[in-house]
Amino acid sequence: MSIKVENLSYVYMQGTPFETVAVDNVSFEINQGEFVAVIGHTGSGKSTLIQQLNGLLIPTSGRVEVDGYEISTSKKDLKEIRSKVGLVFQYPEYQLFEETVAKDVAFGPKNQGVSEEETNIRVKEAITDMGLDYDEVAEMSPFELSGGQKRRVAIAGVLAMNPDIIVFDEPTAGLDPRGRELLFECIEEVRKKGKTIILVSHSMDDVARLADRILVMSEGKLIFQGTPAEVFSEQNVKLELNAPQLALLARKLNKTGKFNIPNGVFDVEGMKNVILKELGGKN
Amino acid sequence: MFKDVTFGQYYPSDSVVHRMDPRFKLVIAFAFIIVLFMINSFAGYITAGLFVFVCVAAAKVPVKLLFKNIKPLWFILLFMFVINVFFTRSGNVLFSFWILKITDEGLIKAVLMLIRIVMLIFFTGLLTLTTTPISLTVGIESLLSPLKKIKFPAHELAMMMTIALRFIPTLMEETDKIMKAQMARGASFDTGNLYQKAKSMIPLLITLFVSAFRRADELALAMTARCYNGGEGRTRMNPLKVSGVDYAGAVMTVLFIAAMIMFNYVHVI
Repeated sequence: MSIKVENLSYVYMQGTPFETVAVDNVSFEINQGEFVAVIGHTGSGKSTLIQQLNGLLIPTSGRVEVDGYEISTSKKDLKEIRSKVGLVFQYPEYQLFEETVAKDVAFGPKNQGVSEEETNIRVKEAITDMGLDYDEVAEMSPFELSGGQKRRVAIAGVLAMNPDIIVFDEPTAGLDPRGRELLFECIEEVRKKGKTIILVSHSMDDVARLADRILVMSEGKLIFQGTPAEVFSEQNVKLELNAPQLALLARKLNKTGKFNIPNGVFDVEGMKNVILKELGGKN
Repeated sequence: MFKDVTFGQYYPSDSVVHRMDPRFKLVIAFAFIIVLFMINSFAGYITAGLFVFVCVAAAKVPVKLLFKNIKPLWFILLFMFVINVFFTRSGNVLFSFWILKITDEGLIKAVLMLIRIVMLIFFTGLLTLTTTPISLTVGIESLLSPLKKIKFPAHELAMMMTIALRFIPTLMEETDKIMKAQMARGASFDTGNLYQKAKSMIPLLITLFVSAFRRADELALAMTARCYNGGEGRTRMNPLKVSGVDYAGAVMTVLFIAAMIMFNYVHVI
């Protein structure tokens, strides 16, 4: 299950004075089981890019291939692709509409034509995967839940479609720190099941900590791609990204001349160990 | 998909007509419509046409945009034309077939009616092309405010219109977003028979209603937080000001109306 994007461009309102190139000749590949983050400033074309990964937007030029299916206007192919690529929009809780949580989560599988029995299994699994108690919430109205719970129900609605690739657009926007933490834990769990994850985020700390690879977008172009260590290396300061806090800390410590912290440590525990080792070596 | 839709049809430009006070524009447009239906002479048509021409030229609006307004109404125009042609029985018969008869008088009447309606569409189109929806509502509020004495809610009406206009693009964007989100969950909005299509709208409509109520709630709170309590004593950031252009427009219109009345009694042509 891989995604292949070749020379992809998307132009809004082509042929009018309001024409804007949102995605400009972008090429990349994403492999099965990878955790890829997409970063870039607001308006850099991230959202337009990901909406083409499951055919919600049809590319103006270039091609997107998902596991051998190419995105085109063919309804049958689109259905297939949308089953393979789940897309979690920003503030997905606004798409909840059913009477009960279970019914809402079942909306996707039902559209796919999955059997009643299989749907129930998937719904239960998806709700549990999102860290919610199935027996407690299943028969509740989605509108009774808290903000963070609503969001997780909405994500469960996408998971229940059993996609191989899940695209998250700013999944933690507007959540409190605890909600963020919980959600990322859930995403990690989903990933462990072998799903490919594509995460669009503004939080460099989370991106550096979680992703295998980062795509950097700017003004519609893919200007850099690489591991977090490569993307946030000091040579890449020209990309004008806000480096993760720990990368900044490492840079400042290294500047004092007393430390030599290697690039690419993005979790607190790892950084603690590196610093202790450096200190221990000196004493 | 909704990115291509622009609501209202304000054409930004800096012409004398754009700078006019919306109240004057509204009154002039209203007066023009009344006068338009009193025309009964050939000279009247020419003068009215001239008046429209001068206004369009002064507004610096592309004529193409004015014609665009006629397009959705072509059927009504055609219908009225046909009715006028076939149902006028007086005059010399030019052509007859079965029970249908076309007379010269009917033909002239139909053409003149057509010209009248086209001028009407042009002129009202000119009003909306040169006035932003917001300043139109401000104008309407101001014109209706004398009715406040008899408890007519002029301010509330205008505020409602303003808010409604303000939220059209927001709700359109939201519709687009929710549609996409449901499509990503396998929903399709354009397949199946009428019943299935109507049913597929439920996931869209419910979410839209919920968000409309939420937005209304938030807006009410934000307005209250900034001390909004109705139109009483409320001032405007850009108060309407009557300037030379408005007087010029008013004088021109009065002259126009005077000429039209004159033509109705004194047949020049």
